[in-house]
Amino acid sequence: MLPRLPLEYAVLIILVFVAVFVVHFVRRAYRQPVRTEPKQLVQAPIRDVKMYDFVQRIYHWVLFLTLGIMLLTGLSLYVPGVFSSWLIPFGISDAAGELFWHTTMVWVLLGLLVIHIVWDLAAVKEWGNIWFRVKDIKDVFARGRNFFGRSKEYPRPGKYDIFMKTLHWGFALSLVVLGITGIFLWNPYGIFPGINASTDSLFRILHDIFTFLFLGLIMGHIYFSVIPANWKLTRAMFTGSVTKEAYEEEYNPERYPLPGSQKKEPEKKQEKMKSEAKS
Amino acid sequence: MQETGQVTTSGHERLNLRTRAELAILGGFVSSIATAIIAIAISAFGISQQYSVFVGLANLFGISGSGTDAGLWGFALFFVVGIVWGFIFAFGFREYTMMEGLALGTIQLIVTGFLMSLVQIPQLSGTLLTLPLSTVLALLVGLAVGSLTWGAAMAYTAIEYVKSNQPPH
Repeated sequence: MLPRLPLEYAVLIILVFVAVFVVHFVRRAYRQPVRTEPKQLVQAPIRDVKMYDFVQRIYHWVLFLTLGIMLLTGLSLYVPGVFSSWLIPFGISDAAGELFWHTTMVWVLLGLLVIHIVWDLAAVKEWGNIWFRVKDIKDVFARGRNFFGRSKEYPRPGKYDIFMKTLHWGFALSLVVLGITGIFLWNPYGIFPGINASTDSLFRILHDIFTFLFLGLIMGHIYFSVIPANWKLTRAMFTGSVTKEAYEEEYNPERYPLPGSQKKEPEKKQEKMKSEAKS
Repeated sequence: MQETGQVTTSGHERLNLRTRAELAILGGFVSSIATAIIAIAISAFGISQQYSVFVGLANLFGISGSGTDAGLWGFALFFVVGIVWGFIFAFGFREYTMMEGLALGTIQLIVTGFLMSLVQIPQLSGTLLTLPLSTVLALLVGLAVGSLTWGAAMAYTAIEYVKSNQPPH
C-alpha cells in the first residue's frame, strides 16, 4: 500500500477553504464596500481599458483546461473509482488510462508555463503589476479592518490587489512543489536517480497536500470570478477589457496607470526637483 | 500588438477582421471548454447514453481504437473543430445575438446527427438510423445540450466583444 494523505485530511483542507468562501459570500457577495480613496476620472475619450491581451487570455483558458484534466485524473488516482464515470468521454477506463492523461498533460502544462513566463515578463511586462509592494501590506490591514467592520477605509488597488497576488504566487508555489514531487514519482524515461522509500513517502504526501491546497485556490479563483460583484472584471478574461467606469471605480490610476498618462522619468525628476526647491 | 493596459479606441461598431479572428479562436475555444464540461457532467450523472464522446469524435475522423490514445486525439480534435465553428460564427454571422449562437448550435447538432447516421462509431452497435429509438433519443438529447451550450457560450463571448469594441460614449 503506497503512503497517501488520509482522505479526512484532504476533506479538511477543502472544508477550510469552503468555510472562508461562505463567510465571504455572506459578508460581501452582494454588498461591496465603498472605496474611500477619491475616484479619478479618465479624461481620455475611451470606452474600455485593455487588461489582458489575446495571448494572456488564450493562455488562461488553455491552462484552465489542462489543470482541470490533471486534477480530474489525479483525483481519480487518489480516490479510485469515485470519478471513473466522469472520465468515460475521454476513453479512460482504468488507472493506467488516468495516469496516461495525467502525465501527458504535464508536457502541455510545462509548455504553457514557459509561454506565461516569457510573455508576461518580456512582452507585456507584468512583473510590476504582480509582485508585492509595501502598499499591498498596508492594504491587507485596511481591508481586514473593513471586512470585520472596524473601519470604513477601503483602498483602490493596482491591477492586482494583495489577495490576487497571493493567489497567483500560491498557484506558483503549489505548481513548483507538485512539479518537483510529481516528476520524481513519475520519473519519465528514468532520467532521475532512484529515491529511497522515506523520500518517496514524503513526496507522495507532499504531492497530495499541495494538490488539495491547489484545488482550494482554484475553487477560490472560480468563486471570486463568478460572484456578481466581480462580473465587470471577469468579463476582461473573455474580451480583454473592462469598461472605463469599472476602471475608474475599481483601480487607483497611480498604482495601475493608463498608458500615455504615465510620466517619463526625466519629467518625474524635474517635478521632484521643483517640489524640493519649493519646500 | 496591443499591450496590456492599452486603451481600446476603436470607433467601429462592427469588429474588424483581426478582432473577428480573435473572437473566433477565443470564443471557439472557451465554448468548447463549456461543452466539454457538459459532456463530462452528462457522463458523470448518467443523463444520457454513456459513450466516449471524444473517442467517438476521433473514430468519426478515421482514428481507430477506443482507448486513451483515441481519446486524446479526439479531445484535441474537439477543440480544433470548436475553433473552426468559431470562425464560421465570427465570419458567417452578422448581428452576434444569442439567437444566432443557438442557431449555429442547432446546425452543429444537425451536422453531427448526419455524420452519426452515416458512420458507425465502434462503441455503438449501429448508426442513428439503425439503433433503437430510445438510444437515439438519449444520444440526441446529450448532443443537443452540448451543441446549444456551445452556441450560447459563443454568442455570449461575441456579445461582450461587440460591447467592448463600440465607440466611446
